[in-house]
Amino acid sequence: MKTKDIMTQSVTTITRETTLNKILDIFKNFHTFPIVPVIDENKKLIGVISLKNIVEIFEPTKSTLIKSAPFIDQKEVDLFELEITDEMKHLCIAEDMMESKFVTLNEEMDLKEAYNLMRLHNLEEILVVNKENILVGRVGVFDIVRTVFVTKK
Amino acid sequence: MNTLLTLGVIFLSALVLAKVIDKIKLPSVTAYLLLGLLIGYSFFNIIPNELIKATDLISNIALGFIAFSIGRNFSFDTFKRIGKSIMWISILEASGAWLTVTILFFLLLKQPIYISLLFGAISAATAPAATVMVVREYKARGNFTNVLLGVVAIDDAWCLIIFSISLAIAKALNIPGVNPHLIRVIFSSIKEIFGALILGGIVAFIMSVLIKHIRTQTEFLIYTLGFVLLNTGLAILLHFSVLLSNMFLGTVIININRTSDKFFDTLSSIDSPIYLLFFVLAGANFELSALKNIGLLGICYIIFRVSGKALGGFLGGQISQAPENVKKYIGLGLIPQAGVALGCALIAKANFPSVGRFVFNTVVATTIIYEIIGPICTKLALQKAGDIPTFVSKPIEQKNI
Repeated sequence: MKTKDIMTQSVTTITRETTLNKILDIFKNFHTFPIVPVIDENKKLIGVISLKNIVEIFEPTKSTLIKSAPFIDQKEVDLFELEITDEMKHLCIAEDMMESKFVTLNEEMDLKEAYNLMRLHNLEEILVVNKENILVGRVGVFDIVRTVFVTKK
Repeated sequence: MNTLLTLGVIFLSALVLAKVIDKIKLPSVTAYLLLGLLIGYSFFNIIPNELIKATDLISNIALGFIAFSIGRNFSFDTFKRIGKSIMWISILEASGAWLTVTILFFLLLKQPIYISLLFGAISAATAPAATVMVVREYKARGNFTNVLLGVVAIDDAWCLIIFSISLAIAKALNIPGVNPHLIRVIFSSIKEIFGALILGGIVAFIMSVLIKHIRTQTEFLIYTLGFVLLNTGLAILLHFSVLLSNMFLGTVIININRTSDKFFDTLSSIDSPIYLLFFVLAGANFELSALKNIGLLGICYIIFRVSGKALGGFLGGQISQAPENVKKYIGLGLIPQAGVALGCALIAKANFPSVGRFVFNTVVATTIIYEIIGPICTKLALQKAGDIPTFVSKPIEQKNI
């Protein structure tokens, strides 16, 4: 069985210009923030945003550059101490928050291979692309586990 | 005490000392260095010889990790995101310190050119840990803060390049019993530098190709660690620059592999104990008796380095048309010096046994001074630049009369 056979095709996407305010609005009923795909005008997947990216966006010491500097005393961002204004939420766009290095599955990938890849990267859910890197769906670990349990007789 | 008992005591005391020093807002690395000083030659001398002898091994592993991790900075993605101010200021403040210290040590203090080069190259490094701590502590926000953090983060990468080139030249200039000849110096330096780049590149490609056989997180950790150690070991064996080959390994892997962040994240999950030991051993190797010989030279090193960084930072700000506050105060924020400088000094000590000790002792002594005055100056720079909020504005309460 292939990834495309079990993936969910309906995925909420945003573009690189989507503001933080808009993102907070789009996902207000989600309870758990998903891995949000950022796509370009040709629907190609150019980045992903996770909850961590949103929490850390207003903390300058969490920038990508600082992450690679050695000997930094890592500290969690205190969510309740963050100073966020309305203006900041309107000015901050997806491109500022997104990660451009991320793991995806190819829609043709075998389920076992997909499961191993997700375990290797410790991912609960993952985006699926076709060979042109166009976003085609989403798969969760449970989708794979469920498929295996249901199909085994 | 046996070696394992000492190791246990070191790790636990370092943990406690880091918590204590956190109260006076200094980074953990300062605590580790001070612990090393206390248990080393200078004071209680309770560290077993086996551990002191392991200094080269631990520092090579730590520097391999550091260089690999710093190589991550040179991704196309980073270059796209990074502003021209950060780029210009970081290049010019690092080379500003390098040139100022090298030239003034050679011309004014009459030091041999290879020693001047080593001091100059080490002076290019800055310590991001202290800067991050001050920014967090005072909740600094603004353009100056962003530029400062970007500069201190990328600056170590320039330092590693500058130091590797300077070390290659210094070694070529100082081959025992052989008169330095320009062509030999150039050939030998090029071999060490380009050899390292080719090695790092080849190892990165192999690492990227074979990754498809890795199935679990444990395998991933062993795989990454194995390749970094293999690259470090090969660089030592072939007499190439350990720093450059590992940095290039990191740079190539980040640019050719889409999931390469995983390599760096995996390694960072195990590097803390190695770094801790690296700082403790650096402190333990310091000889207090050397202080009397450092005197004027140490003071000059501090003054020349700070002047070079301030001048280079200002020039970088001028070229990149940075805001006035960035140009004026960036130099003041670049004073801390720690890990990368100590690592480079340890390499100098290993390569030049007699004068290297002098270079190392000077760098340790000045690091302690820099780590104490550095955060104060960084705070001052952030304050002067207007990035530390001085008051919190509250909306005026409306009362119904």
